[in-house]
Amino acid sequence: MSSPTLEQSLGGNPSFGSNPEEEDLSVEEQDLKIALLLDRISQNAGVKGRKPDVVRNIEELGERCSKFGLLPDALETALDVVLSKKLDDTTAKKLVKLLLPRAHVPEDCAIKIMGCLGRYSRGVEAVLLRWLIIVYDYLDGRTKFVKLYGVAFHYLSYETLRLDIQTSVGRELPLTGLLHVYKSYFPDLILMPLPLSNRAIFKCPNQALASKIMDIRAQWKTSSALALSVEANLTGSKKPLVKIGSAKRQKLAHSTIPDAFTLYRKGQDTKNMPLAQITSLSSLVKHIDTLALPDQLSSILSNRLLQHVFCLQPSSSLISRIGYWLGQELVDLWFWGEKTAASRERFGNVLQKIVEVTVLIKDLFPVVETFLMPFLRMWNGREHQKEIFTLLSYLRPRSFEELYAFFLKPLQRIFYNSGSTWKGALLLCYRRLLQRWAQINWRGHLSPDRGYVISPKDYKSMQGLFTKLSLNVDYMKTMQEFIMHVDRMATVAFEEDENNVAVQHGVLSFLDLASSLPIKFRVPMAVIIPDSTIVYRCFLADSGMAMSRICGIILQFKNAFESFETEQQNYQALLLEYEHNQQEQVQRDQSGSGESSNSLPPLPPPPPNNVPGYSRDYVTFFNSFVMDICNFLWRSRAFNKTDKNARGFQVDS
Amino acid sequence: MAGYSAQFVKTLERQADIPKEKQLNGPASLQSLKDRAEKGGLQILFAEYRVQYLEHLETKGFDGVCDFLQECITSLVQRRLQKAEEKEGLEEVEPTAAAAIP
Repeated sequence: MSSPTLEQSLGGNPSFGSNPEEEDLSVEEQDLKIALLLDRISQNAGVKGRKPDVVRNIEELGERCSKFGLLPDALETALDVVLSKKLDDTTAKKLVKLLLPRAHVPEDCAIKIMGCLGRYSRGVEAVLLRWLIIVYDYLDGRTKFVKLYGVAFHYLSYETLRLDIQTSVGRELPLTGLLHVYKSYFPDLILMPLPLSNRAIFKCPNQALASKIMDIRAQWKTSSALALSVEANLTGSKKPLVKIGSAKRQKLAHSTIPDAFTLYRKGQDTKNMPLAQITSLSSLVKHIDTLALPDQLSSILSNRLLQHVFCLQPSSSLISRIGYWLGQELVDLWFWGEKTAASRERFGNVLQKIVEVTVLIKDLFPVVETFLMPFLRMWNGREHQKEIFTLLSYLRPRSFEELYAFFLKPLQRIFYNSGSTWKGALLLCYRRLLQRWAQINWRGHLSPDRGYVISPKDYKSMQGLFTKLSLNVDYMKTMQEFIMHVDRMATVAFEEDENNVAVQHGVLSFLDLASSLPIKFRVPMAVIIPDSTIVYRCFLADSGMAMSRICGIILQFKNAFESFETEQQNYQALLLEYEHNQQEQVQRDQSGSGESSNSLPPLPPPPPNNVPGYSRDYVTFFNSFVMDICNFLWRSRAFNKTDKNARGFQVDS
Repeated sequence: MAGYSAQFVKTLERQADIPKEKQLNGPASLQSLKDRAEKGGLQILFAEYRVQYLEHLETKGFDGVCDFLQECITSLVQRRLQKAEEKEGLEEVEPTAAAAIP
């Protein structure tokens, strides 16, 4: 480097930007000037009488950096100056604020900072650590850096880690968050209860600096040569972490679902078998108790073996660990990330993987349910439709109010504005959802005396892998209201697309299931018959398919009504018999020796698990369907209204 | 469904070699079938026709309508029970017949 040129350049132009020639410089020339400035700062730092020069040069560096940022080499040089201890604290802090990476941040920078802890003033160290947190996502590798994890703990005092002291002097949220992560991995390591907080635990330590870095990187992201160089540096890293672009965008460009491998072993236990060494089902069975799960449990999404292990040994800590990653990934891709073709593809891939796992374990990750709530409010109904519908069909039962507010309402909005194929697809999705709910053994677990909610003794046996049913929800009411909700939607759909086969198929499939709930699935709930508009439109449709299927559905409803009556009659008969036996017993006791029997009286027969709701008018209305169809098909008396119960399809004569 | 009915009538007429001028033109009803039968057309009563047509629909996969009528119309319920009894009788005979074969 030529010194005279440097002097000329720096000495004569203290104010960058005021000289028009400066603005015309190319990026390479600006980088060169930055390098020269850093060189000068480095030479003058700590030299007596040169502090004004250093301050002036740092000011000029700030002006250039805020526009062009620093290349990795310049970043290292600047950091070296800070760590040289030649600058006073104020100047050092100023220089740290100018460490604005344009591309990636060399891992060595992070190692240097960790290596110098304890040798500088607390103020400078704090600023450096905050900077490190901000640029963590831009590190070009972490293989060496993660090995310095213990260094951070070395500087945490024992008192700080003690939760009992924290409770008296106040909690430190980041520490609690860290301990939460530990507890998720090794529950037996952290025994004391950790309070949960809804507040953000790991906040960005300097939002202004983080925004500035993101702006600079976004501004220079198009530099393809830069991107390539970063890409090249990433090869060989344990997991590629950084690419050019914003932190969110970096995650989009490559597959982030990690491989299933185990790096750490718990304690000195060498008996644990890493998952990677399991090659067959028999070896899985053999080592199931000593299996070491992979460090990154999110690999469950792409590892079928791990999915099986997860099904066999689910635990809340495993679910939490997967949830942390999965929730963040979904939110990053859908809400925070830029919507590009690549991000959509990645989001689709992640959804596809979630669908595969969900279908295998037949339960939805709680975090996915939580994600779907805000997602549906923003969804256009088209993107990833198949995956979303599949996931929706695995929703856990809940109160209808909650179900409607978070899921049904946003979907209803899309339903009314969508084509008939979409409508049909949603109705089929609802059918699958209702079927999954119907397959739960409600009859065996509901207690009629408590208002058809789950009895506490059956609570545990009704839990799915993730599904946690509430004790205080009337699930039968939820199912009934859900059926009525779909009924209303179907009525509107028929108004818009009367003879559309997709809509007909969706509506009839749903009704087919709804009509079979009391008998086939033995769900203890009152029959919800469809709206007359649906029955009439299907029966009088152009398609023979719709006509035939609605006849079959009406028949199933008829059988359900009859089954209900039979159960009631059987119960009445049993009750009469019980009362008769009781009377006989009393008479025998009185006519005998006067001593009553010591044995306990037999219990009355349990009431049938049927719910009230069949009023005479309701049944009469249903009978009109049967009568009208018979008149139409068999008796050659279509639209007749004179027969008993007949309404002639309510066609005005 | 009227279309299926018309096709079924045509099939019956073809099987019975009914000349074109005596074939039924229009929907099959009590009166129209009676009229055709009197004029040398298809010799079938409406009551018999609708049962045959229902069986035809069953073979076409219209299970819903067939099941519905067979469970709601008394005459069809009896007919189905009768057929079931006949079937049971046949199944009982079959083993004897099989045993007779060396």
